[in-house]
Amino acid sequence: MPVAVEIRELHKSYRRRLPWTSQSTTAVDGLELQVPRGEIFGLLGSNGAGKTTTIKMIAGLVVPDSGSISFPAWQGLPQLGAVLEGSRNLYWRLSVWENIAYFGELKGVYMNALRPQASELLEMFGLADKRDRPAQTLSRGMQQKLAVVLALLGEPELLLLDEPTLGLDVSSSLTIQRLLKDLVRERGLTIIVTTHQMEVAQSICRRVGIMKAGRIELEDSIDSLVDLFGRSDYLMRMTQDAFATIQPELSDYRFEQLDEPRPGQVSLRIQLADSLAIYPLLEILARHKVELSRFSQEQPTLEEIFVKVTAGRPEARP
Amino acid sequence: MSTRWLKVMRAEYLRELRTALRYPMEIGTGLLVMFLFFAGIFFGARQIAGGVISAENTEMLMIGYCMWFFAIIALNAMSIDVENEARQGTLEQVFICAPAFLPVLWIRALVKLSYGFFTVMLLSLMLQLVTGQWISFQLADILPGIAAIVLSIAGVTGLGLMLGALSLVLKRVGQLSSIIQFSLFIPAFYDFSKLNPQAQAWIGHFPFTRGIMLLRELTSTDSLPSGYWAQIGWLSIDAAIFAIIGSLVFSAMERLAKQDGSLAHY
Repeated sequence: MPVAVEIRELHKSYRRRLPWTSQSTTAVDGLELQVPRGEIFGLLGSNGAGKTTTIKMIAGLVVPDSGSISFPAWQGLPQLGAVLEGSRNLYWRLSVWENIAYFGELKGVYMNALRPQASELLEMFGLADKRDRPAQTLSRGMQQKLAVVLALLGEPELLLLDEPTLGLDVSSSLTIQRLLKDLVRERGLTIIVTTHQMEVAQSICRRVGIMKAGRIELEDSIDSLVDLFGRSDYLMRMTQDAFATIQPELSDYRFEQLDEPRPGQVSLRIQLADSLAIYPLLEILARHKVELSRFSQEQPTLEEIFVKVTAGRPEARP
Repeated sequence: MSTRWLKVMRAEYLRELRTALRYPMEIGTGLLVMFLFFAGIFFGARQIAGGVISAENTEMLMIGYCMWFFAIIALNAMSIDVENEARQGTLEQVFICAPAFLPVLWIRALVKLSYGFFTVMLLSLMLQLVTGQWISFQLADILPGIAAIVLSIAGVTGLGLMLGALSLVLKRVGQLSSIIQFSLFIPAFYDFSKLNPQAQAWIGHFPFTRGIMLLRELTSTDSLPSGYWAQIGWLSIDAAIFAIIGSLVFSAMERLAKQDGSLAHY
């Protein structure tokens, strides 16, 4: 897949210019990153990890100290759309359509092209009946959707979203996540999204880069990360009697008993040394004809992976 | 001008108009405040002067006041607007969507001033009604008068651009803007014709000052004052210098704000 955005050795420090301003801070420290075209790439990190600075440097709103940002998939700069301040990205006093007309013309879209484009986007984002409502009277979720609609005017090739679902209720967040996936599937858009909501990243991104102290600590597809951090942990539930029968034979295994609300039942998490160690365990279970009411392999969540990756190094570098 | 910029201009005209139509009371009360402020100055001055202000002085007062109002619009278009955009969160979005921000700001000034022109005309009418004194001018004075007004305001707009540039970096320039606004009170009301010619020549380089002097001369004489177009030439040079300096300062501050990552700060 062609590379949409290529970042090499990117550095950015915010310097202290006046005595009363805060100390100099390194926001991005030798960032290297390649974002494939036509998919959603997640830039993950805690507060202060350098995500927003990175996305603003890609948008040209912050000038890097050194390093380069290029867009190999396009001749020159791609058509860009961005939502950086969420629902604050719009004129609250103007109506939905007036916002569209303003930003559309600012982007150079002809009015006769803007009307069908806007109608399609408003329909897609469920805002068609809110066309004449002032933006300030919309709910937070709708304002956020409108901000994305505005970013999509002029059919951008690269969409930059900074925390697009932050502060939204579950339903609005899920709607935006679904729409972003649709946009990539139907229009081949490349989206870079920053978030510290791991469940959002896990739901929409194919690849993620985990940032810490201005660097990418780890970058891979979510599937590969899950495999990489996958453990040979199994969860199983059986009767107390069955557990009492096999317990002496489990002495070679590391296991813990989990809280189990069902009376007469026992839930266990068994940690295996490696994936092959499952076969002797299955033999024990088979030999004692243990009936399992639950048996599953435990997968790490992106959140757990994120915590593992980011643990141990200092966050900000003054 | 390319079609891209014409589209930007259309967008700005419509945005300004739509916002104004949504909040007509804001415009009405703004105008009323300016009217009451003038009434306070005028009737206060008349009382101090023993109940009478000459027709010439009343005319001078009205021209100065209307021009000052116009200058405030120009200053705010360039400075307070940038501050407001940063506060409401749309500044970065405009930076991303528009081909360049500085021309957008100039277009915004043009848009605000063209709407402001009607407001100033209305204010001027109200002032003439309340004072009972009509500003006298010949038909032939219209073009020279407009030249003086446009060039004076262009100079102030350059000054406003410098203020807007500072607001990109310092964020809060409201007080500084107030100081400049009230400083413009001096050229608006002080009669510089009493100064010696050399001092007049020097002071004429300040934005707004030469234009006011020319307008006063224009309304106080029946024919075009001698050397008027030469003065307009100087006014053009001054206005261009202020506009260029304003643009250069703005570009420099824009770069600085992008280095500091402070465009969206407020």
